[in-house]
Amino acid sequence: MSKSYLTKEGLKKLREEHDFLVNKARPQIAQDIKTAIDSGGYEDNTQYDIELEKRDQIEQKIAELEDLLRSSQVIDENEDSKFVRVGSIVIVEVDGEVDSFKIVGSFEADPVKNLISNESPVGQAILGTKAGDVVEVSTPVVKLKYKILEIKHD
Amino acid sequence: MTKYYLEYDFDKSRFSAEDLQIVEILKEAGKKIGNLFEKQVEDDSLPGASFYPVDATKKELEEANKKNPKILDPYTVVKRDSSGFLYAVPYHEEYANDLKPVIELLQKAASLTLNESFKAFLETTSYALVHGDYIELEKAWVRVENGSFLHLMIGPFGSYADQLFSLKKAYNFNFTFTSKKETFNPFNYVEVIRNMLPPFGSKARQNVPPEKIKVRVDDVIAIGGRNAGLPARATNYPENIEMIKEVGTKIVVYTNNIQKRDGEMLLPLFRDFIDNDVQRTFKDDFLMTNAVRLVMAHEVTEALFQYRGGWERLKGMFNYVMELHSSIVGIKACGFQLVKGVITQKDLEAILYIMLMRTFSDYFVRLKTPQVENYLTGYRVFFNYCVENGAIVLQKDTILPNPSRMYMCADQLANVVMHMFAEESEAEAKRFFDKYTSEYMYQKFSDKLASYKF
Repeated sequence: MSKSYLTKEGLKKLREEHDFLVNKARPQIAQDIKTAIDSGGYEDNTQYDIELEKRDQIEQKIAELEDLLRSSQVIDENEDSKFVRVGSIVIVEVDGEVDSFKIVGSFEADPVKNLISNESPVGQAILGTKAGDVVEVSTPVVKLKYKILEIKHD
Repeated sequence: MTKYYLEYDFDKSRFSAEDLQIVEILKEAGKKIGNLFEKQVEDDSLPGASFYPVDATKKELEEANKKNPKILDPYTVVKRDSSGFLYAVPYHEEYANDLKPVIELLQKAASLTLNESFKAFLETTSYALVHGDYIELEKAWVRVENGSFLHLMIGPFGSYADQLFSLKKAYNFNFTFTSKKETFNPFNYVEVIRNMLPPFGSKARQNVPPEKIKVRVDDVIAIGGRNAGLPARATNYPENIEMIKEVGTKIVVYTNNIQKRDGEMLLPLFRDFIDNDVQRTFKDDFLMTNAVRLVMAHEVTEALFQYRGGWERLKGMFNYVMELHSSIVGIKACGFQLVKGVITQKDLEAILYIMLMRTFSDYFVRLKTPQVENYLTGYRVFFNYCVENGAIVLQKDTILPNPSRMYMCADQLANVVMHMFAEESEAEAKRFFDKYTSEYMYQKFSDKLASYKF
């Protein structure tokens, strides 16, 4: 598994989600499965099938989060850097206008809040660049030039 | 029975007894709106339908408007008295007798509904229709909470029936309920939509907070009036940005209409027309998801990009420019979503192909509903622009697309149309559209098109 990046806040959220699934959701679904069996048995019981499916989803999510917890590197957002790295707030010029966003690990990505994954095309293209650099963000369909205007850290 | 009223089959299992009663009541209101719309477009062979006197010229109406601005008000009927003088009658007076039974039905439905938000909407709407308060009418529509199972748009909305000035609003009735169709699950799109505020077009792009964009995804029960001739894929209101800032904007997606126009018409055409090596890599569900995404991109762009004096400059070209602008700028925004990791490259390719194929699917819609030309013109502009720039190659029986060049074309066209919307005149817009709206593609593929019976 490749290395993922998390802010301290992201790590906290990830642990909270993991704790919720292990300590609340898992016991609850076990109870729901038992209730479904008690009321309709194992055969031709739609509710039982639904609860089993929910359990599988919860277990899969727990496994994903545990993988992430094992493989993630927590970044120091206060560490100043002249180069764009995960955790940087980047102000750029693109298509003649100014845009700004923060580069985060994929778990924390939320483009609505301008949190862009380091694995996205723009994330990959601008990591390691410095103010003044111009990079082409290139996908097979879209090509855009980004000029790095400023790099900030919280 | 009016031809401007249409009922859909729908699953009644989620309807309460009260809901079913309300459905029957509001269907009656829909039929009456169909009749009212029929009056508005009595002579639909005329570009001004029945909004203006048959013998009134565009120039005469513009001159009369200088003395009486009610002449070119969106909510008046223009008439000529015996001395030849042009005057304007507000809709709520002109159609008072037609509206009276509609209002009674709305009030009856209001007394039955158990949903407070829908009840408030029905009551405010009744009042607004009687008094011609169309600002309150739009606000009331936006304010209906998404928790309301039933949803209704009723009143004068949309100016597509006025081919003379793209101005006069036509009566419309869209009666819907919350969809449970998984393909159309709004949660698949809402976050994407809220990120549809791209880092370009800042002069026109309005800063509306994402939480003020409300999205409903509905199944249709019945449509009447303007939309009965052309079942819309989606709709958004209000149009006025100040009102959007105050109450927000609402997009309603109509699943049955998307299924009909994109699922049943566009998909088979896509399979048939697009080069086999390309089309077979796209599954139907994936295409439908992106058809909805394109609809959303279009609606959000339409709501949030506003240009001062657009109608005054573009007049008869306004709707053509606006519709092309909404789709093509929406697609450009999707390119930014791709580089930010919101959508995938395959998603964007699908969106481009859907835009392309609407040139053919809406060609069939036009055979029965000429007003689709407001949209179809823009699809042909994109198609022809792509041909001119080598983004699509018309082969003997099929089309070979180059998605990278297609996006480049969409990007260039978006810049052209944004400028057109912001600064150009009706004559300039017309010159551009005339250059790119050739119908050559329908002759080129005439044998193939003739084999379809939609």
